[in-house]
Amino acid sequence: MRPYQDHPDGQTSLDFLIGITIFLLAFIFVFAFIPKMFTPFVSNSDQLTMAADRAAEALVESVLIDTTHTDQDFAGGFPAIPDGAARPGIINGAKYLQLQDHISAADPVGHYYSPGDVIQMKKTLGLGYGKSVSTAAEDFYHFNITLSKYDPAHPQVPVDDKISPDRYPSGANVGQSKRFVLLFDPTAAGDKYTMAVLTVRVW
Amino acid sequence: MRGDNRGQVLTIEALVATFILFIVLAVVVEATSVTPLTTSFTNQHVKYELQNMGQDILASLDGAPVAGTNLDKAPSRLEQSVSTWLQGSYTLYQAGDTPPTKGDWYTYDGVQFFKSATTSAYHEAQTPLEQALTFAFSPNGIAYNVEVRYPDVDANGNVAVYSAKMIWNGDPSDNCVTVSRYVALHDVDATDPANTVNLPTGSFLISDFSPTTSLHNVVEVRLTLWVM
Repeated sequence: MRPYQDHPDGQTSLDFLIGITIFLLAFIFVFAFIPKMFTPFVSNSDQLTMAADRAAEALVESVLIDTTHTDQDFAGGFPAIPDGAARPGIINGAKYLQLQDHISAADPVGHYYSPGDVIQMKKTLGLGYGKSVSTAAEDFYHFNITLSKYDPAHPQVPVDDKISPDRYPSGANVGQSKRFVLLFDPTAAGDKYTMAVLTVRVW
Repeated sequence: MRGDNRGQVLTIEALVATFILFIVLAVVVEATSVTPLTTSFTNQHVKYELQNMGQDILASLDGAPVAGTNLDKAPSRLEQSVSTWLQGSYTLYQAGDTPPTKGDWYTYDGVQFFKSATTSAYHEAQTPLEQALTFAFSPNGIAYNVEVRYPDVDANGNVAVYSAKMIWNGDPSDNCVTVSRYVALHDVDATDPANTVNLPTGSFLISDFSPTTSLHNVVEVRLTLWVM
């Protein structure tokens, strides 16, 4: 039991242990966070983007596509092309309105979306988790469709026409798909084709 | 044990040194190298969106007839855009402006006008292609170039493919997307002389490779898109 002052070396191991532990912790911390500094924006929305692409394709290429061709572009007695022939990228404006109204028929003033109609629409667009016979809302993705139409009176400000049965989430990933279409309206006075961008968002 | 108290330190040092070596090796092997060519998911998705929009613009404009024409024999709006550029028949913005030249190329000023690169002619977005591009892309900070590739006969009599610029907004970035579509251009038909879309007789940048028929040429319209 010699006095403490005679052999202070006994404490070095403890100091060393504490020091090296702190050093190693700092070291591991730095190495763990350096890769994240280079890739800050990591999004897990692969699946959502694929669902949004699929829904936009279904809308633009089958659900909304124009097959009427009864526009007054036919002058001079040429017969109209029979229904069924579809032109790519040209959708029928009336069908889009029907889509909006179909799921809001109960409320003529606003857009009330009855849950049954919304689920049917999600099945048509392929926004389910593979459960085509389900009627539960949680088995389907949420979606929002926006049609931004060109307005000749205000060329810089497009007119947005939305189908939005679900509210946007505050923190979740959102998949998006944009398609450019021409809206065909046979009753329009001037040009019967209007430019529009259809955006489908899925979460 | 006197004078032997360094034995512990050597061992611990060795252990820590091995540990650090091992950690460095593991980090180096596992780390993803981030180079300029590495595509993050966000980047790739933007390219898919641009590709979809570009293809849609070319396809839908090629499927819609010129406004107010017979659907049976009408040129498509895409053909109208190429033909207007070839003929230089843009409407002047104001009386007294320099008229546009045939086959000249234009730069979008970011606000309203397409300005000629070689003269002081300028015009607002007029052809369906220009209108679609300024509607879909310009407000979103996406730049575009439009080039037209056409076959022609060179000095030795061999057929070669040439490229002409229609709209040029600078060299694209590394993350650009190019979409293209083939368009058939036609001569003015004797049965439809009021059709100003088709090409009258005369010389144009893209020559008539079938003088005996109403087909003028088949060109490839290439649209390059990139995020500014």
